[in-house]
Amino acid sequence: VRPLTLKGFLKRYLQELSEAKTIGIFTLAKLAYKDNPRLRYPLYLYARESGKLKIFNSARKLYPFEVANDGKTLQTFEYYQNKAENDNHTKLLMYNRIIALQKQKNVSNYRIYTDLALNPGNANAFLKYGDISKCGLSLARHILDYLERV
Amino acid sequence: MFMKDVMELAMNHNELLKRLRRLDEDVSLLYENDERLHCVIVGGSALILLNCITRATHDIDVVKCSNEIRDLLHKYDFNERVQTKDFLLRYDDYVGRYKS
Repeated sequence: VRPLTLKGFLKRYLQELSEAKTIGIFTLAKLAYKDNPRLRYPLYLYARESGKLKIFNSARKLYPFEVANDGKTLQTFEYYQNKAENDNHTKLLMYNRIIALQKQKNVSNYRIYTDLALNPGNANAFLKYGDISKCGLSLARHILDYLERV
Repeated sequence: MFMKDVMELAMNHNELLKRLRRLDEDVSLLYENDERLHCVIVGGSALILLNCITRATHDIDVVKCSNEIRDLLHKYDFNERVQTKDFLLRYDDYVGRYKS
């Protein structure tokens, strides 16, 4: 998977927020000035990231608006950038709960992967060695649901 | 995998529920007690969840929440920087504005 860059994210974000098919700085600056103030900060960031600050400043002379950190754009970027990491963290939390329930209810790995018809290799790697790369989030959820019910 | 597959920026009713369920899941994994935590959602996402409007939104605006979930709100891109002046007094105005 290609890592998500701020510039790549901003391209998509600006297109979504503006509903325009272009990421032309003048077009977006016009929208930011008049109808869509939410574009202002991401547009500034995009111009900065793509080395187009001069064009951005020229556009702002024509369509004057203030630029202030909206506290939202970078948080949304972080969310998408860290999505895989967040999933792994949730899987790890699930793994800890699974192991605790396994001990508490005395359920073997064998019983889990036979009852749920899981791939024994991947299930063992996850359950025995805590290898979260061998287990998707939905599968971890499935195992946890099973152990809570059993 | 391309970025388009990873990023679904605008959220409809189902995607909002999915995001809220992820938050709920993390909270239940982190806090095993029966304590009830709260999170008050306002704005477009609240109206979508109530089926008042059908369009998608980019934000989940939160006006109040339990301290325990504050870090998770940031992690799941919930927006806590919400202007709440006269919000409850102007509920009908907000609904009308979003519907139009």
